[in-house]
Amino acid sequence: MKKNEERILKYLSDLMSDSERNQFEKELALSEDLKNELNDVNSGINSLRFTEPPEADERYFAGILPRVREKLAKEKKRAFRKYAFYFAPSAAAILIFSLILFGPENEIVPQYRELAMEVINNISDKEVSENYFTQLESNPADIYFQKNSDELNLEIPDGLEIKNDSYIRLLDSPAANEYSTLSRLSDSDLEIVYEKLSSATSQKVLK
Amino acid sequence: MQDNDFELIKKFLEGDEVAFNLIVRKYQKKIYWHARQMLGNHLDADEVTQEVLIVLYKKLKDFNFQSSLYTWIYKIVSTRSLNQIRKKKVKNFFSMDDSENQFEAEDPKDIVADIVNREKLDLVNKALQKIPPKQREIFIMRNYEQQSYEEISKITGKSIGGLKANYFHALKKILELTNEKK
Repeated sequence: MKKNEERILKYLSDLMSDSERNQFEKELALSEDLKNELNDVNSGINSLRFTEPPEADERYFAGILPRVREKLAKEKKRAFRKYAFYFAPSAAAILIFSLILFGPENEIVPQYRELAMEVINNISDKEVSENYFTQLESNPADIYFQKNSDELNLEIPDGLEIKNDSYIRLLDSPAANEYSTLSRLSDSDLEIVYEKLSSATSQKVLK
Repeated sequence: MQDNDFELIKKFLEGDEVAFNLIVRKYQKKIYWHARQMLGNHLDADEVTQEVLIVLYKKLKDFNFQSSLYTWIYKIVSTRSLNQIRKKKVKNFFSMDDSENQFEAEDPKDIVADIVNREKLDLVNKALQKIPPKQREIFIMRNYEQQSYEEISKITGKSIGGLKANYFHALKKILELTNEKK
């Protein structure tokens, strides 16, 4: 190390007291050697200094923001899952407690329980079937037919000279299917039926 | 500059995400280069830069407008860089790698394309990695970021006298190391 380097570094680091600084600056004004040494140290420091940041690939800096945004979005998702994970058991516990305390069980279930006990203890099987299961006396098939009767009420186009019972037969009887009904018609009749059907359909569409 | 920063922060806190983008674009290079000088390689610097920006996004709501945004960001960068150095030390302690050579390998993803700059950067980095992190930090802030002791004191929370002593030791060692290399 040069003899004055320590002092020069102290000077550059602003580590000297006021008196030391004044003394150093007086010497500097008088000594050419000291001035040269100071310049050497300064140029050594400056050789390590970047006046501007080094020229870098701008694509890297352009890509930082999207990557940060992506990470933030992932963190948000993770945080939501974490909260969901921690809160789900609590929420379930609260729900169960609410149902126990305020749920319908306390009001409705005892009524059914009383009814059930009455049925079990006091009423015979016959009475049960007569009084409580009356709906089951009707034929399930009838209930099904009632429910679906609307679907069976097909609309017969106006002007079509085919009797209603042909349709009923066509739909009710397994033997009287479309093929057997139509196979009984002659070619000319079929032609008439076809024409009337198509004209009726087109009229309906126009309406 | 400060007023503009405060304006951007207010906008961001009101829900304007574009304001955050503007803050990032304004400070990302300074963050990166500080981390890069502190850590000596691109990969770690990249990790710290992203971490700092994420912290910035989350913590801007806590910004109290008492210091400049620049100072506040530097505090985060400084802390994160020092943490990264500690993490690496622990990692190297438990791994079989030779910690002396951790900065020797050329970074394949280095973003500095210019060869002259790259060589200079390598020379500085190698010297910087051989001095204690606290001294390194002050050397970087004084030499590359041209910050005053007062500003550095606000960022690091250290006394100005201590910073001057640290800078003196850093200068001395860096000059010795770079003169040896030359």
